Amino acid sequence: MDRYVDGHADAFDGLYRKLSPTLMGYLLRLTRNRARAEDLLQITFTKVHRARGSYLKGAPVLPWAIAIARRSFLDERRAAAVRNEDLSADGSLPEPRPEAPALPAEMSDALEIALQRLPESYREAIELTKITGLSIQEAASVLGTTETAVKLRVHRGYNQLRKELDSFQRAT
Amino acid sequence: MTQKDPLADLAWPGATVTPSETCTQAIRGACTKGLCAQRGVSAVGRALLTLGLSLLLLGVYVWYAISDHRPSALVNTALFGAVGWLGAQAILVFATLARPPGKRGSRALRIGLLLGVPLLFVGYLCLVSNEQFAFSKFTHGYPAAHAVGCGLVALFFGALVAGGAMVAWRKTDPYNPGISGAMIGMVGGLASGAGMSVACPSHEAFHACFAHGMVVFALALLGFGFGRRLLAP
Repeated sequence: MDRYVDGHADAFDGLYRKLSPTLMGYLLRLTRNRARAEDLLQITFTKVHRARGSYLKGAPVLPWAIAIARRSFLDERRAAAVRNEDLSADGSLPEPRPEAPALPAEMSDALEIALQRLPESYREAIELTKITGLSIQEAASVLGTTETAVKLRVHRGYNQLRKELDSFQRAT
Repeated sequence: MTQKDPLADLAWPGATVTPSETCTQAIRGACTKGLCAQRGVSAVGRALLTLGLSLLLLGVYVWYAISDHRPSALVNTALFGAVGWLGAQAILVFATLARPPGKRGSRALRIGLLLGVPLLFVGYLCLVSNEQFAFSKFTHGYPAAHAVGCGLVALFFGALVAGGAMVAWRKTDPYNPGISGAMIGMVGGLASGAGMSVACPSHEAFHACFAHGMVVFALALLGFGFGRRLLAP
């Protein structure tokens, strides 16, 4: 990051190679839509690029970039909530929200569906710590909350996940 | 004792997804076109700039007090207090803003500081005031008008300090920009409130608390709102 701030283009390539797969995975999990995730990835890197002069030396880069990506997602979602949508001829919204399948076929599908059913705060905490691989402290920074709150959300989310997956195992 | 992860055996979804080549090229083009060194001011530099603005404002208030021929004993006493609060501002700035985001202390601690420090400041103003009217007298006539005038002047100058500091720290905190903004607002409020004690001829308790003390709460609140917009990248 320091070399990128100093204006080295090859340093950007290294930074991009290191950050983009994790950021893309994180944004894809948030949006559930590849095109939107790629749009947000572009917005995130543009913000990183514009804010590189104010990057404080010594700050961990991945949580910093994830926090920017999360804020971009929240801004976009807020803007979409107040944006006027043109209805199609039959009066429905142009992009109906995809429904999660009710009956998963495998354990990994069941886990994915169970994650989607969790309250947003629990899901975010689990995704950041368990999937993205941030530490509890880094996840707390990204979510703008305390470490204790993150631990609590992960714990409660785990309990709910376990219940959902137990019921799936009994059904199969 | 370490706790065993109860869901460790599950096949968790992968964390990484490779973006498409088109997306990569678009980002690369946007982020490397005309790339040049853009090293901003260091955290210490920004902190010193913030404290410099506070010091400048204190200087303006002292100059006003001296040119208005205030009794030197009162000015000296208030000045000692203001310098003490400048020290408190330095500790706050270096402990909660000058460190990299994510290492600026817990959120609870910073919220505690945002509530506790202004209360301490108001308590200090109460303690050092050397007269006290009945509250009913304070809310009518000249004392009320004077308090409103003083409050507005303190708010204006405090907002100048906080605004300047906010520009210095812009785009530096993607995690909790609101709290960092409130911290900057509080520092501006402390600079203005403490300086106002030097410049203001009234040393009445209600006047000091409401006109000089409440500006810290007001600017912290304003800083919270503006910080969310200005401090996030």
